[in-house]
Amino acid sequence: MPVKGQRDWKSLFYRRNRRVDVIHDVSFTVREGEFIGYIGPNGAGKSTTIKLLTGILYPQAGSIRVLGYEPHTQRYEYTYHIGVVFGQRSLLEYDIPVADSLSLYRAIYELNERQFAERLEEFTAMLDLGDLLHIPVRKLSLGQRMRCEIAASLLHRPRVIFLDEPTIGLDALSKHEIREFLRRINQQEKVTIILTTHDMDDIEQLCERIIFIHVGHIVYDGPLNTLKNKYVTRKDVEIVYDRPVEIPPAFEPLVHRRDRNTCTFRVDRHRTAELVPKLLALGPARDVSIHEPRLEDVVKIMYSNGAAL
Amino acid sequence: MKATAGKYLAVFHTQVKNLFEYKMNVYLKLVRPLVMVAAVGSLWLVLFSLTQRDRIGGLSRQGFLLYLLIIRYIAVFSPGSASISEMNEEIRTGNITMRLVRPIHYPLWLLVRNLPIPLFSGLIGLLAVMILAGLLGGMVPGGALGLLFALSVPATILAQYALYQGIGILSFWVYDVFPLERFYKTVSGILSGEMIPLTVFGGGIQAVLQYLPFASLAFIPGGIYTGLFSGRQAASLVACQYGWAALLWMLVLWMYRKGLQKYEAQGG
Repeated sequence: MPVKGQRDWKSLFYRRNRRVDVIHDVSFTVREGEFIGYIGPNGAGKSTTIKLLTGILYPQAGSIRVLGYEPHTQRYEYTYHIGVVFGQRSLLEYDIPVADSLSLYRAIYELNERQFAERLEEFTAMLDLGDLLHIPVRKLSLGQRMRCEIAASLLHRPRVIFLDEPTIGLDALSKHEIREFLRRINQQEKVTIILTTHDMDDIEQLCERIIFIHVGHIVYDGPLNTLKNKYVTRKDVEIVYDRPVEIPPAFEPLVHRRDRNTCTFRVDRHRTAELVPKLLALGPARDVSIHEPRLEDVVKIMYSNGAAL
Repeated sequence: MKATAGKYLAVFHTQVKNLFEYKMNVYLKLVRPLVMVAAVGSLWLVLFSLTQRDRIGGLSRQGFLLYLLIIRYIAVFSPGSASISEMNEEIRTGNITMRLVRPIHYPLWLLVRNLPIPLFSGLIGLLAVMILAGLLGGMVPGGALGLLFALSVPATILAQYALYQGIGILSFWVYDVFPLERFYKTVSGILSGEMIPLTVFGGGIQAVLQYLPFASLAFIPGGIYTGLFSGRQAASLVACQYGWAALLWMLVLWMYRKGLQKYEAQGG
């Protein structure tokens, strides 16, 4: 079936523009030193919020205050106090060694030699930058580049850090190193961090508070644990029996997955202690494990029901 | 103020390091004007032969070649299409975001960033231009005209940077600014005196064109160098150049502020 393009010859003379409001009624306050996960499905308005908070975009309505600054009108002064990392964009000079890019940012943030040397020494130790400093950026792996990007963005000891997908595309080890680094600077320097990501492991391991945005609206703002307790009503009990067992009709509705000797039951989280002994009694068992649903699963539920939450 | 100057010096220094990674750009920027002088110069020499005239638009054969050499040499200092291309790319892909979250003034940052290649090309080419100008019998004019020429060149470069930045900033409104750049180059090629000295038009047309901003890009410095103007005329034209340069920069900064307010930051 032919698909008619949206734009044809008429668009040479006349185009109709439609205004789309990306976020609405988004209000929140952040305490100093908080580590916040700002999550939501694609197109929810996460990056737009970050761009508003960093002063890149002008809000059409409402007001924004960060550290006493109005970001979009006081952007120049304000940016001395914030650090921004966009996982899909680079601020390092592509063709020259990392050390030269860092020197450039030393000048841009007006750090003196002593401040710069101290910070570089800290980062070299924490992010293992030693061997990377004299390599042109174009020759670094993604993980190495991201460590250098983070160093360049935080050289000036910002009080608030905005991270947009900082671990995107990284391998498990690189993700771990970056998470450890972020945890340390959050705890040691009491830096406020707002993290936007689709990687729920980042959120689970780092954030104490979650703000969930859906179609431009905040649908949840609170502690990570409360979110889980609110949306996680079941646990998975996985039992490896010695041989295939017969499941009585009473337990049949609880079966979530079955693979020869292994059976996974999805049980009400409040009845786990009561049901596990009964399930173990169905046959001789070699192993049993109880899984909390991962945040990933919770978020999947939230993404699919977002508008109704 | 000192710290602010320091950060832009660092931007310049970093860009010089980038430049040394791609030295060929410097040499290519020098070769192009020589090719243009040869091409346009040949056409004019043919025209001189066909018309059997000693002077056209107040210039002799040598004067014409000298005029072309000087304006083409000054054009080496212009930021060129690369600056428009960089701005267009950064705005339409959203990469400008990475500049806006730093304490820098983007147009100034871009200006400084685009200086090294023209500057190095210009300095390297200076000796060659002096030798060629000497062969054509026209060294730098002396006295007041020499001073006015020296004042005219920075005004030309300032106007060039403003016009290039202005076109680049249009990327806030227009997805692809290259058709606009080509249009600008075609128009300025005629109105600036780059191809045809404005004295060729003569009379009222020259009187109007020489006070437009385009004349600032080629005709005024080239005309002062080759003695097309009296001291008084040259002084008023140089003053006009600075007026246009100031006006164009004010327009660029106004457009930048308006552009930022309209900016949609494409991409995640």
